[in-house]
Amino acid sequence: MIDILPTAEQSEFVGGIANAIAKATSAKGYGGDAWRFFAELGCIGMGLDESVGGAGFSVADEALMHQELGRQLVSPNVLAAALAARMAAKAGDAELAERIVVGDQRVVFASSLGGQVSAAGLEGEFHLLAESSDAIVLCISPVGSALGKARSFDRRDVVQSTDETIELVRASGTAPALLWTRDNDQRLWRYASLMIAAELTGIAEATQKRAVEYAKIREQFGKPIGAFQAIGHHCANMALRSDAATSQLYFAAIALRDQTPDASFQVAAACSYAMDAAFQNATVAIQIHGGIGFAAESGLHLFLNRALMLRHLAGGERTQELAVFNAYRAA
Amino acid sequence: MQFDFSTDEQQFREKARDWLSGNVPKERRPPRGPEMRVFDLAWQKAKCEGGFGAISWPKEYGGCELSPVEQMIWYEELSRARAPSVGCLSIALNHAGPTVMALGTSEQKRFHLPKILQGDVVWCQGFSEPGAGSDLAGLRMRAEIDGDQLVINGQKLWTSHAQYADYQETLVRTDPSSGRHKGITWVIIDMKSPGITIRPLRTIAGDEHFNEVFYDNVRVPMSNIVGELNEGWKVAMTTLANERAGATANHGVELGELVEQLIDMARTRVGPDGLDDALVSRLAKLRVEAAALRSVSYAMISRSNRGLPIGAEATLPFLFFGELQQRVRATALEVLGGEMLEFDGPWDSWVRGFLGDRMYVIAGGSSEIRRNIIAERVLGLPRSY
Repeated sequence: MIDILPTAEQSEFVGGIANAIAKATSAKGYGGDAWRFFAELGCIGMGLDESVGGAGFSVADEALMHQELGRQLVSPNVLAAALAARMAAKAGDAELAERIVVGDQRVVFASSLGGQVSAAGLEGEFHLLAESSDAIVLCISPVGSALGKARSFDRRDVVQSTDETIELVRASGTAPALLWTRDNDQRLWRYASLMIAAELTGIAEATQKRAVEYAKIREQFGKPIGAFQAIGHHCANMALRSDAATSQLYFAAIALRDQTPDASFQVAAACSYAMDAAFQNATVAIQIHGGIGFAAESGLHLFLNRALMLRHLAGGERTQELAVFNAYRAA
Repeated sequence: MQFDFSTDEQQFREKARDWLSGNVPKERRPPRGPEMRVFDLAWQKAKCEGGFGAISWPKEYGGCELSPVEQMIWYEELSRARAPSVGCLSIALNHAGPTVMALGTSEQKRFHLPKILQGDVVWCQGFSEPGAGSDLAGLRMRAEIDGDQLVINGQKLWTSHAQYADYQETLVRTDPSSGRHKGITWVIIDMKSPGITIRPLRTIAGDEHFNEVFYDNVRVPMSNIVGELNEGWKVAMTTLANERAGATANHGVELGELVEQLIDMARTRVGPDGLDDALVSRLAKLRVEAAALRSVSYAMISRSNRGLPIGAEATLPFLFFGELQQRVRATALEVLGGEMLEFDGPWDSWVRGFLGDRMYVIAGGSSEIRRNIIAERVLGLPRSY
């Protein structure tokens, strides 16, 4: 059977999560304790075994959920927590896994600024994607990933973040490894790449929708700007990128779930395509909004800046392109 | 969310593979001339005898009535076997045949469909005119009713394979007083009719693929009209829908193969360690885009399997394919270096292809028209022209 699209059940499930997030966002935003909210919603433990408090969903289901998180600009730290819980569960530390899943233990991404990640832990300089002395930090890479404690770093200075929805910390020193996963078969990295591809795809979709809606209502020269081909063709390009990113995401999610021989290629392709689609659609959405798009209150720059952050977390274009190029022959 | 093949589908793949391994023509397809016509017709006859004559046609007209998945499998196996395409029979098999099936009289069906299926005839398409390209509804070639005949005067342009064709599916203006989309009639013209003059035009790819066709008091029986008199625009839209739906799965397969050939060529020409970073990045991007195009075709098949209609959104992969193919060939020319200066050299398929592929961003609706269609009919933006 070839039906790569989400089933009615899956769509309903994601719709439920979408509504819950939208409601919570308008009520209280995404400050301080938001990770507890996402833990309670089941976003962190969704793909984990029930023995550690998870819900046992497939990676394909999880990818659909992360696509929604991307559309609504939910913090990448939800993914950091899901990854850390997977590492803990795999290492046999069920207690830590469960604490992360239920929201008792906060996890934030650490992104290297030349710092090294190894069996010893995190050494050198890193960005942390939130300031919290109680948090566990997670640094992922294609060769391996490590967990450490935020408080182990010698210095942690809050700096201004390009992505203003994310608190950014410049940390240096050594955070000894709480856990280290040597990623020989790149299982964890591929999983992370797929979920980041999903969030980027969500950004590509959300920005396309906003641009198209705006092009229908904004009037200049006596008609909606969408009636001008200069705008309409931009919108068509955005639709193409969204459609292609989404289709490739679904296909890659199925490949990873079913562990097909080309799964690693398909995931890298999904991630690589989504990086470009999110960046370009966010850029064009700002352009179509003109002066309104340049005003911070439009919030469109949040999508662009998030796209840049996610692209960086997935190793940048170069890392995914190399995976694509070196992969199993596609055809 | 599922991607696997049923036992029946796997059996179909084996059957197709077996048949192709024994029946793909050994000789290379002649790129032009009457020998090309002979080759394409012989290949069609062979497929018809082997039971693969018209994969998407319904069984009642002698087709295989394959599901979209089986059609995709067929294209994959054709590509794997390096089998020739339908060549100059594309209009007959993918446009004219399906239109006659949908709207023709039983007499028209009985006469034309078996000839197309069995590889007896070549068809061409007389839609575009000097003044009607992207704006097809602006066509002016006049057909006046004289008793039980239409008398046709005027000119068509960009008519592919007219010089090898037996029949033409033609749009003529039968009622100039009506609006643009009204007063057009879809009619079958016998290309041997007196009064037809064909003048081949050389394309930028060096071949004589298309032609100007002049009509001087060409008489066509009224019984050759397909659909109603003056309702030809609706009939023509049937044709274009067929063109797009049938092409998508095939495009994904073909382009994936083309990118792999390019990567193989780059590796052998430059040496496995000699690819510079910039080229690796470009090749990887093309591979990514080809994978995405295939996934889009899987999504279309998925929609079709769910019984959802495929409408204007088929334009998305059509636009994607045309422009991506250009990027693939452009990269190939860079890999070829000085070799690409030879038009008829050992790498001619890349060089000619690079120029010839420009057709795929013009014919069947230019990229600009495709973007207009997406903006208006997929996204719901106001009409822009």
